[in-house]
Amino acid sequence: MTAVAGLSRDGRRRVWLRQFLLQGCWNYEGMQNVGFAYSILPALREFYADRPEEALKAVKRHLEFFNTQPAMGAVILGAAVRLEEKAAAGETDSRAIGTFKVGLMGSMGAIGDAFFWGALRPMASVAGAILALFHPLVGIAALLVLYNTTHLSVRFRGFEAGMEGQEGAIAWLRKAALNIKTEDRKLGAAILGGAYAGMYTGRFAGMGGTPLFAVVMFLAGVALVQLFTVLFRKAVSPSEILSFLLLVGVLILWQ
Amino acid sequence: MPLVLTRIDCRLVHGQVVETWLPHTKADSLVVANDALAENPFLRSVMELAVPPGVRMHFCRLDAAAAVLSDADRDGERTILLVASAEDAVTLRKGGVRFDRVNIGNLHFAEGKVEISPSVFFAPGDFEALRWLRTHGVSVCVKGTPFETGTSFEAEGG
Amino acid sequence: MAWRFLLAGFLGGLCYLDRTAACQVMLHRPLVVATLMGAVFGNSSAGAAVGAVLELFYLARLPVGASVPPDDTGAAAFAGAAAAVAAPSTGLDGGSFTAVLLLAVFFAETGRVADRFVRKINGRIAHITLESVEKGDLQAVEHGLQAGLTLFALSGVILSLAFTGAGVSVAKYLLPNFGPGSRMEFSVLQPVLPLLGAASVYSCSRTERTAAVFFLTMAMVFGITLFLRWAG
Repeated sequence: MTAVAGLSRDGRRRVWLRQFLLQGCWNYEGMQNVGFAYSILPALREFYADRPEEALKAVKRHLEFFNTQPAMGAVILGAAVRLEEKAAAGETDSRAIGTFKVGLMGSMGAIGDAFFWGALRPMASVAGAILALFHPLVGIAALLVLYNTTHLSVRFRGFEAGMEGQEGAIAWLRKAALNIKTEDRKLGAAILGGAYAGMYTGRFAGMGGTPLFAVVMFLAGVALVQLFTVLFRKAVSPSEILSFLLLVGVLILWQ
Repeated sequence: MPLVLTRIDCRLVHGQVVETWLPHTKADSLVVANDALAENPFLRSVMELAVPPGVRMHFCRLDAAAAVLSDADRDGERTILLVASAEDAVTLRKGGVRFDRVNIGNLHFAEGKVEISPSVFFAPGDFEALRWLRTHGVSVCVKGTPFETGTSFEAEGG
Repeated sequence: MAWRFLLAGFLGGLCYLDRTAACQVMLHRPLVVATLMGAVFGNSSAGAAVGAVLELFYLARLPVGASVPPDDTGAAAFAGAAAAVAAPSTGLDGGSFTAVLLLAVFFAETGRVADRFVRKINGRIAHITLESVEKGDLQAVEHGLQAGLTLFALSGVILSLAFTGAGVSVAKYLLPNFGPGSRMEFSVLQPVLPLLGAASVYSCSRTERTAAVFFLTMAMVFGITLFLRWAG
């Protein structure tokens, strides 16, 4: 790993910690803009220590619109620190920093949304929900550990890789291969989701006592999962389905 | 129906496209028509890492989009076309790309822009470009993800 | 009771912060929040039982771009508190369980409106921050962020108090009005709820093998569960 000469250990630690507040002032106009400027501020203060006007300009360019998946923000933050260091030393055009961030945030958002929100979180959630039926604390621990081992390592390694510059960032992204891992986690989520559905349906079917009832319950379960999935694809919200069920419940009580 | 979605989004490929529109439209290919991107190998290679393995990704300059799209069409791909601005959409339409509906995902706020939805802001040029599209038979829908209701502006004949 | 609400407000505020503003280490997930609120109101396992179902409901609604998903943290605060309070008096029967989960929808949607509102006000804060920076005040960035965080935290505390309050009220005043017969009738909807969650996971998954893998595991685990029930 190349040494990052410019930023002190202390500054680096501060920037790393501040990334956890990237969405602290999330707003519709600039989204994570204030959060990003806040995160990179300790580095800017160091690089432009005796040049207040340039520090101001630097802060302003980081207050431009910014939005990405928060964990993937780490790699962009690292790379931006690196670029600011170069810009402060006069080795690169400061205008390139904005272009770089804008170019990267969409892709990182896509990678992160698919991996974290679309795959890892569902997997950790179902695992936690299943284990919570045995003991609540085991379920919660499973959810938090499954999610955060990967989450924190991306925050850490992504930042490190970004600090090594564009090549470092690309090399890390290739090696991390999150778009391929996304498929694995999605499959993991499907297996666990099936287990979850099977467990609950099995419990209810067990109350009936007869094998015929059990078979009917199972088939009804499969049909319902299919039905809900189709409804979700047609952009029906879970809230709408639940409200409909509530209405059905009230009608049952009414008659 | 080879071109399943035409989208104006200043962020091009990002989470809303990959996680909601790709599965919703069952598309298996993405065409990104953008001049700046076509010349930046770094950003292109990052963007390629952002789509699921089964989805083919094409980058092209605006003037090459029509050719790329008809190739994709010949290969039987279901394509999502992405451009960064309303002006780019007009350029494509003038350049012979056929679409009769366009979706607007994100257009960032800037000084002097008018708020259309929380994440879409129009500059005067955007209004003009969209008026042009609507008078040429293209209906416009402002909608981030398929799950939103969105705001539609129908075409005004063609 | 007052100290319970104090604790609920504090812990709820923390969990709400984790949702958007800080960290995202999944402390805001319904399973965690419902269990926590269950514990605060005296029955953590009742909280966990509703949390485990609520956990999956909104998984397919991703916090991407400007789209704000329904507030399952708030729904869990309501459901956890309601379940815990309803459980000791009547034992959390299927009817109450179902009712609590269905009523939680209302809070998921209310919380979402509040979330949007906070983000709108943050726009003002961001605007003021930009203006101050323009005048040469670098620290304005830090102040702006702190203001945003405070706002998120404040709205989290208020929502937690309101939603757990609603949960306790529903458990104390609404649910006892229904007799065992009505509860039995209402509980016919209970088996549907976990399946809605399972369908959310299913629609997140969407790989080529998802359908095969999902339904195969479902059949296997169904068989095993049934066998264990009938054999044991």
